[in-house]
Amino acid sequence: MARVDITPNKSLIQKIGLAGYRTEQAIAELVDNSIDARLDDGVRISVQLDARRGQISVSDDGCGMDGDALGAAMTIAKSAKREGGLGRFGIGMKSACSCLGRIFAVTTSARGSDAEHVAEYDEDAWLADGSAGWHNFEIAERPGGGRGWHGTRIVVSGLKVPVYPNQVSKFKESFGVRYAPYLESGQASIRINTVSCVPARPDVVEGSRVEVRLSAVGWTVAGHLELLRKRSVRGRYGIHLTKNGRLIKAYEKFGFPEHPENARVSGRLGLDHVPVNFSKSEFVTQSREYREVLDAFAGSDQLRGILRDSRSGGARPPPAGSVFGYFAGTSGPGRLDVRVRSDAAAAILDGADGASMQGKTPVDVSFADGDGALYSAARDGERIRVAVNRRSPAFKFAKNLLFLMAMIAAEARLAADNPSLAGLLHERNLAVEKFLKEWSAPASKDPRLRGQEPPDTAGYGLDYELHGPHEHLADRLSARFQFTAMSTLRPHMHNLRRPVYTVHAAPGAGDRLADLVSEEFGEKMAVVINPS
Amino acid sequence: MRPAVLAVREYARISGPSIAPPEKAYVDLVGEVSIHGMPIDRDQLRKAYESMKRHGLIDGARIEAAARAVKGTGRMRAVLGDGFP
Repeated sequence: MARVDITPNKSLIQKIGLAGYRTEQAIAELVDNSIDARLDDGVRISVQLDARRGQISVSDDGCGMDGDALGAAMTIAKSAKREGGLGRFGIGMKSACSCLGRIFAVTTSARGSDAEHVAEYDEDAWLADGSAGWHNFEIAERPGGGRGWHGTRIVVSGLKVPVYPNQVSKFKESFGVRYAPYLESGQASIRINTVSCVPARPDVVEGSRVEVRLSAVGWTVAGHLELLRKRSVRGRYGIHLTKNGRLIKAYEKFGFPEHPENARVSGRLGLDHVPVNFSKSEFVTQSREYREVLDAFAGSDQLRGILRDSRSGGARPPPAGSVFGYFAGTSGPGRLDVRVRSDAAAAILDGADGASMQGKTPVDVSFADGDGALYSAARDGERIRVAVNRRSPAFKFAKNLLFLMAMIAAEARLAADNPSLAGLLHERNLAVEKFLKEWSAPASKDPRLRGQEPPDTAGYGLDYELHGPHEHLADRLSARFQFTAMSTLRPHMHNLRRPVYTVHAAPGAGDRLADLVSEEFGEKMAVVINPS
Repeated sequence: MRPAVLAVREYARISGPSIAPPEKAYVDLVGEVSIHGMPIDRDQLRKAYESMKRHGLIDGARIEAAARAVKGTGRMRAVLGDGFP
């Protein structure tokens, strides 16, 4: 048996730079390392994109490295990172730097050390110099150079990627999403040139957050789901999939299809046990771990609930306390919606802690869980105390008309035996009717939005359905647009279960058009721009 | 009521300031299905075409011109076969 030398070719560093990183991903690799090097009180990271000097640098005030650690960091596929860190493979820093430029220098100083260590790599010199090799890579030591600072600074020059001014705002936005948990918790602060990254907070419906916890043998996945206030027309909805807190996939349509109706789903899920590729840009989707989580998540009640909310417009009941406030005259009408599911209403009630109704006789309402009747009332000195039992079957069967009949029958029986009660019940019924009238969603004046189907006659679409929206948009949009495709053909597309319109807009006018449509039609119209 | 869906396509070639005539709309729909994968099967597209024809909404010369304008005659033939003028 022959033994051969399989020392990697010196071009390996150059070649791992061809990993297919986008500039932002490559810089994120370096930021990951800085976050892994954070101290107990966090880490400050500065990313400098210097177009004039043709340099990209990432520096931090983390724990830094000594000479040996720097040597290990420069070794390909050697990782000394602790479990749970963002780095894993010992490839990211080299491949990211090599992707960004031909020359990179790593300067570092360990906390508590006066020395500074520097490793420099110059692609052309490395490949041309026969005396330089894997076994004698030079790490320079500058005694005293580390006095007064600790951390690591990586400067990449001889750039292979373009640097241009609006990258700063683009990276600020994407890093705000990517590193949101670290930025929010104060474990890291990131500046890009002079701009600070802020954690991205999606505009979500208050109270819509549901926690997700899935587990099976050997793994647990945790995260949350929320309902966006508005549908995202640019596809910025879906689940952020993370590993050890590091974003791997943003806005992933995980467990549900890409569709305008689902465009209000938002959330974050930590797939810490699922393997990722070495550039940490993708999960290994063919892995058993990934498929297990995907199946469990797709079938979860939490995802189904939020998808239902996204489709239905996410109608949620107002807080329980506001109902009592309305009857006490301390707050105006809220909004009832028949689309509110009873479980959503029950969730609101579960979160309620009570209310007070001011008046001649103050009433204190408290919510409690028990086995008793729907509610009880008792006088307590000057006040009346009402205890509402949230576990009463009344809530479970509130939508059942027979339950309503039972309530009426019980009260009729009482009124029959107590004539003075009849007037009270009459007043009660008037008050409830007023409540329902004032809290019901007002009917739209626009026949297009009342759910009325237009007559199914040829050509109706041109006159009945589209002229209104066309005129409305034409008054407000200076750019050219045209209703086309299925909008004009709907009477002939018999199997469509809902109106579908297509409108062509001049390039660049899509966002404005989408905004105008959203303003005019609100939840009645789901807008999607350039669907693929 | 389930929400209506409005697909906005940013597109440089807009034929006029008013709502698209049925012929152009049909050609655009075939484009949406063939190029962008709108989930409508070809049978349904064919039936829609026949329905429009029955109602006198389709003019052979105009639909051909509309298809040619977007280089879509091949796509139209794939859907309508011999039915395409």
